[in-house]
Amino acid sequence: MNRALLLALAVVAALLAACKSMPNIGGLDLNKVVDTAKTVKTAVAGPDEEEERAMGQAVAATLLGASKPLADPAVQRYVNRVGLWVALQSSRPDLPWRFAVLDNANVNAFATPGGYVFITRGLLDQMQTEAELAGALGHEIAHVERKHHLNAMKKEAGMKLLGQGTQLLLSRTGAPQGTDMERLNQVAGVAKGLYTRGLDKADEYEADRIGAILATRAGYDPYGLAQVLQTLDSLSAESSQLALLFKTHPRPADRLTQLDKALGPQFDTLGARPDVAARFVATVRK
Amino acid sequence: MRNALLLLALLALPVSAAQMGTVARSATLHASPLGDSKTLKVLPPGASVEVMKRVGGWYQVKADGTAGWVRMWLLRFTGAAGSGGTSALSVLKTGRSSSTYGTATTGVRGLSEEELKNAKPDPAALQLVENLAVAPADARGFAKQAELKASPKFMQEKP
Repeated sequence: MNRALLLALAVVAALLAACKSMPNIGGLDLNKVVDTAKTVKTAVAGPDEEEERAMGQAVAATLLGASKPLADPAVQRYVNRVGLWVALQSSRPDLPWRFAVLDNANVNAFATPGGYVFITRGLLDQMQTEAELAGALGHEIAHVERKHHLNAMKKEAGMKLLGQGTQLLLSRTGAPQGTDMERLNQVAGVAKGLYTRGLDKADEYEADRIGAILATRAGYDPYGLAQVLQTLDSLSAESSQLALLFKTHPRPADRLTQLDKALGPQFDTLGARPDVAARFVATVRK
Repeated sequence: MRNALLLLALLALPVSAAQMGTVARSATLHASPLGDSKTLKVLPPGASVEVMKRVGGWYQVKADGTAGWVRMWLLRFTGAAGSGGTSALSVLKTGRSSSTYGTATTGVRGLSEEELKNAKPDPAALQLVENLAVAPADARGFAKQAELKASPKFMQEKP
């Protein structure tokens, strides 16, 4: 089957998906066509991506079990627009990227496989410009782009054990039950271990480098992430609101040093770029 | 070059109040925010400076009465001038956290290590997050509003 045909079938599927019941036209069983097209569509997206998304939903639901999204539609919309604009500069622009501010004073941000990115209002409170937000979201987007958490979780639990058979949480009706629930809890358990222990330092440094590159590609002042790290560096390491972030990441001062080594000279060659402070303040500090 | 400097000046970020900092390593105090500008003095590691503003990758600082520029990467904030070591950013850092959005976190939810370990998956909250999605065209339009121009080739890695 060639690619054009695959795409055509996918389009047919999309068009027909809108109809509740399928008529039988000219002896052609449209339900069958749709089923075939659906299978083809999955093949195009790739089973790996579907599995990644399913795991990501399980991890995201777990993090959301720890902290609810902030009930402020304007701020959530703002963070999704900035986040998606940065994610569009990545090598995975077509992932279903979702961003959310978590209603928690803890200073932290998280990414899950498949494109969920969370930032706490505690971290948002430390920022003064959109360029800083773009840099921090860029760091999380980079974790997704490089599949840092996905690989770490698979490594820990074994390729077969995890992910395969995990159903998309959002595609089912009603609460997960039986085997589904077991799988969800299994992924959640592995996620809790990873997100409280942290990734390898090398992954964090890589996410800093790529995150700053993505924010820069998006047109922002390239020093946004560096500014955030500088602020984190000045905060008291004893604060309970910072305990998990500091436990799971290299010291901010070391991250600044690495980022300077990786990108300092390249940033020097760039002209002045907007930090979009006014829009950030107007939206987030209203 | 003049125009570039002018642009930089327009984009300068004022650093609120007088913030104090130190240099992490030996740092050259430059006459202007340019790597090849005149060296005013060399600051030893840990030297205390008063931070005035940031312009691109540079902070304008005062060191022992001499005003000049040091690279952003070398600076570490320590606190506000004359405040006895209290963080200058303390308004942002501590004052806002629980008051900005009204309520502090309550109940069993929380993002401490212990709380995260006890978290129960919440599919309903996930659905809320799913509904926050914006379209790529929306994000592009929003970027354009702020006059953000993408430079997709910056540090483009080879496949």
